[in-house]
Amino acid sequence: MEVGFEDDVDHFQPGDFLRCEYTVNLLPEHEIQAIETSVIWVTEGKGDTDIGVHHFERRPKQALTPDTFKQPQRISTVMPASPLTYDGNILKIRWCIRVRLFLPNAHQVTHDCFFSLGETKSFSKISDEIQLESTASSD
Amino acid sequence: MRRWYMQFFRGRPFSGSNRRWWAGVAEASLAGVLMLAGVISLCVVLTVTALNWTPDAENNITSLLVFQLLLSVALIFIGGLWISRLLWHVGVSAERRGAIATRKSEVELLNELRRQRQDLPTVARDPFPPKVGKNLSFRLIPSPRNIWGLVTTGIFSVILVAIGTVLSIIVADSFGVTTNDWFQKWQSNMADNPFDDLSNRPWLAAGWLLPIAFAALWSIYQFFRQLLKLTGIGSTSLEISNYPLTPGNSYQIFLSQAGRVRLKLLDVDLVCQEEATFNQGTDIRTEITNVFSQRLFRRRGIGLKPGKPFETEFDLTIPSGSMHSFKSLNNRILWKIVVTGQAKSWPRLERNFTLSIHPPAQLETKPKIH
Repeated sequence: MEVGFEDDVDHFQPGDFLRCEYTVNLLPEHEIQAIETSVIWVTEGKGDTDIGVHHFERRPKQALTPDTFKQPQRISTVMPASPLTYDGNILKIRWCIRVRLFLPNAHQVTHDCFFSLGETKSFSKISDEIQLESTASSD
Repeated sequence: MRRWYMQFFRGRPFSGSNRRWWAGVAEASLAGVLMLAGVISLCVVLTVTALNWTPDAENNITSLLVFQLLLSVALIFIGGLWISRLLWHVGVSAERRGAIATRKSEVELLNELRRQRQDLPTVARDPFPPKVGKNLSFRLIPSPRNIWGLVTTGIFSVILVAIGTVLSIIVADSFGVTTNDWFQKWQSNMADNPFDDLSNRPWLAAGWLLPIAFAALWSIYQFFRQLLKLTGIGSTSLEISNYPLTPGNSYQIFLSQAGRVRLKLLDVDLVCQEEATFNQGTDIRTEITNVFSQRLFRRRGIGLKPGKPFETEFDLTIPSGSMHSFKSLNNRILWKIVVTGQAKSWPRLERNFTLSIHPPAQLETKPKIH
């Protein structure tokens, strides 16, 4: 399974139109029950994981045709204003596109493709910048 | 009486209004003493009644007893109500009273903030949304102070005082300090008396009385200390030129600190915290980390006078590129302004004002949270 962004851009701003494509290379003996695609944010770090779903689409077996896997499938959505991607001390917020394949016998295959939303700086960098500014102004 | 009250406790409690500096402390102490007097009185009445109780007698409950019980309960009720009123008035300032007059504007303001929150569901909601300000557009609401310490100490004090009072009566009676004849009556009804063991062994009761009396005095001291901590220094008011805030923008802040003490130091800081809640075994724990702190204002040696709160203005800039407020089920990013002050012989002042920092862009999209 391959997931790729249009123009290889994996950085978005709030309000941007996210477009990406995924392809599923199946062996003849493979049988797909359903495909779920979603655009989500997840928290990582010390706290328990939280997930927010921005975009979700499920294609059941009936909606899948033999042609489905012969050409790339597209996911598109307008990105929201929040939460922005964040890299903190005990909390991180990451955005990703998740493609989940449902196979027979309750087997699943998941692929996450991470990207970033917005531009936030780490607080250590912000503190350094403030320190530099105050030093420059005192000089 | 009313005239005396108005002379003594002129103005609203602890609002920084024009009244004597010690009036606030005296009022809090008097309320506490009133409640304690009620508790002691109730314990004395109940203990004496229990010891004098004669089975099958018709005059066990006299009208005097009912009057004494009612008086004791009334003292506890009035004292408790008075303390509750003092605590409620702690944060009330002249600015707040002015803001209440413009409640209509506040409703419109709240509607606007509610609409913005719906557009940004993961941005932490204001637990205490701002009101209309007097000097600047918005008045920030301080986070409520934790009164559980005071409540716990108060309950602890009442229990210890009650036990101490009962033991005192038993010890005084056993050693013949009291001139009442109820000890003799009690001896004749020993089988029905709940204090048999202690009354039979007065030294045991005296031995218990000493540590309990010390514990009661200590808990009363702690109770008044907590009360002063909550009510001692006057109210803090913060107003801001615009709200909610966005990174990279500057805002004007108006600070007003009321009180009757001389502050050695007054600091105002912008603080950002990360908060993570997680399961550890069968416990649920929350870890809070300060990830950013910036001094906004510092002044040494501020003399606070009744009716003349310390007032100043300064700028606040939310650093460009910083993360917005965030809240999900187990994680949170919290921005706040922290006002801290230190005064000689007074507990440390700390007031928190939560800020809502929005991301730079706002759209009409509504992601779902699962």
